[in-house]
Amino acid sequence: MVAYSHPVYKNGKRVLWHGAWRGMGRHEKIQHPPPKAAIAPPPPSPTQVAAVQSPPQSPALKPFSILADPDDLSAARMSRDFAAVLTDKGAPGRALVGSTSPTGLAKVVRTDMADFAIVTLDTAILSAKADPDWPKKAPLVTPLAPETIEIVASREIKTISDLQGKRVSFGDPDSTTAASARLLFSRVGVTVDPSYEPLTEALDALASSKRAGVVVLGAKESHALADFGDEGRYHVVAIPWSPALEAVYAPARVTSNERPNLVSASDAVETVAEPVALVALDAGSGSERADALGRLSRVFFDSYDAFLSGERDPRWLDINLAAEASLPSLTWPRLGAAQAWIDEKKVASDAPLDAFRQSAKAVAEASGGPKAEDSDRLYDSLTRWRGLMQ
Amino acid sequence: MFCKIAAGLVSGVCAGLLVFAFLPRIEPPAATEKAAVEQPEFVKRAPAAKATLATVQPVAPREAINKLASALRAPGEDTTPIASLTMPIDEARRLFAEGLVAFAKGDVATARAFLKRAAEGGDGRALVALGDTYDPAALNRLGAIGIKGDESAARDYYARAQAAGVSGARERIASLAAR
Repeated sequence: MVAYSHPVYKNGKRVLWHGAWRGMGRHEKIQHPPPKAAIAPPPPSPTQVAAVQSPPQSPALKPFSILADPDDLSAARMSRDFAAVLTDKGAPGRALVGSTSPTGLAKVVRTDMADFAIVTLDTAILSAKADPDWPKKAPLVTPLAPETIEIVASREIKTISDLQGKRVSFGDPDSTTAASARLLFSRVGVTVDPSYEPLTEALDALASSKRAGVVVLGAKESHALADFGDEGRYHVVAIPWSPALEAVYAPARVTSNERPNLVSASDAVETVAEPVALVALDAGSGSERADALGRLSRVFFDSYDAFLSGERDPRWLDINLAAEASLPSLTWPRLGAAQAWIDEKKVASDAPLDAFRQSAKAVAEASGGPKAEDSDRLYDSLTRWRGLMQ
Repeated sequence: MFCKIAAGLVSGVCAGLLVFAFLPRIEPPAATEKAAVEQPEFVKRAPAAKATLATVQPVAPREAINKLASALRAPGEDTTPIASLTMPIDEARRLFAEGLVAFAKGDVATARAFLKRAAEGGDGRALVALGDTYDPAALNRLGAIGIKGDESAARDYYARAQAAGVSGARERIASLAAR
């Protein structure tokens, strides 16, 4: 019998892993040897004490795990960076690959498989739709940079509407790509016949005309995609920007530099990017687990400069750790310790900046979202704020 | 000998069954499921417009577009190709508003995406705001943590805005030079 405190492997794949922060409630009978405290708890500040309410003696840090979807190569790379940097800083952890779709995440929480996860906004929205308390149970650590969605098809498919009624690959079954693809086609009003398979199989099926298109998410570094379609028969299909997409996505572009095999020379294809976030799993406010993951989050924030070095994913360079999460019609709280850390770094009160933020908030919350005329008011507000700085 | 082999086989099968029993259950793929067609409940934005943009809105004056196009094509670090300058100007202004909302929330990466599209659509003010998203002083005052900014990129966008005749660009360039 293998102890629950260890991962179980089958054919080289981890099939069972009871994470670092589990076991104290449901597996009280299991006695772990007392680990050495890898990291001393940070000195408490008034805001931190108020927000986190840490017990006087926090339990020692144990190895953690961070989950990324196998279809989402960008997220997988960032999760490896996360585990590597924190391990270097004395908080050992490992990156795991597994489904981060709503059902995948629910399974992960149920089986105690991971402590953090990189999730897309669609996953968060769908999870919150199934369980309104989900955002509280999976609080935000920080938003990450949006990930590009690409639809690859034969050049006979000129527009996304040409995929109507055709068979389109949505990635692995129960993957985050599948969840995002279903919602994307729903939002643009195109009904397709989805199929579910890994990217390499999907590309083979596309090459043999068994699929009309393949949807990929965060596949910037995919070798399978980089090596596909050199003969010029395939391309990235444009996803034209429309108001129906604004509630969730950001505009994005795939250039010929990024996809020389799928985008004509000196050209660029309009597409969309989906917001992505780092969350703490099963870390409801006030729980012992939230406290433990909060301490790890502080290590992450304190070590952030190490993520900006050349060997790490360049997308770390675009991340503002203090950014608010954007969940349409939903509040997404931040993990208490992470919010306390950000509050400690807050700059002095700045009335024009506050006014700019208030204007933006009012515009964002208005029915129908930002309108053309709102741009004048917002730009005036921005100008007043920036004017004080010069 | 035979008994030992049989015992080994039996224990192997039992171990296999145990491992199988503890494998996470794999949900059946929704292979037969059609793509969801209903609009999700969480999207409460009113416009029902789909993939194509309305074409009845006026576009920016030709002279202004040419000036902006010239500014956008100025040499700089951002070599993103210009997709189109034929977007209805109100659409560009709306994208600009989206970009400023994202910037106010601190979501710098998203703000840049909207502002670039707005600038390409004909709203030159977006070039100034793009510069602000790279300006280290602006990011610092915004309370941004982690992201470092890029003075060179900020200067480049301010210069493009100045070339397009956008007010406020000259002051920002001077502010950068004074640091």
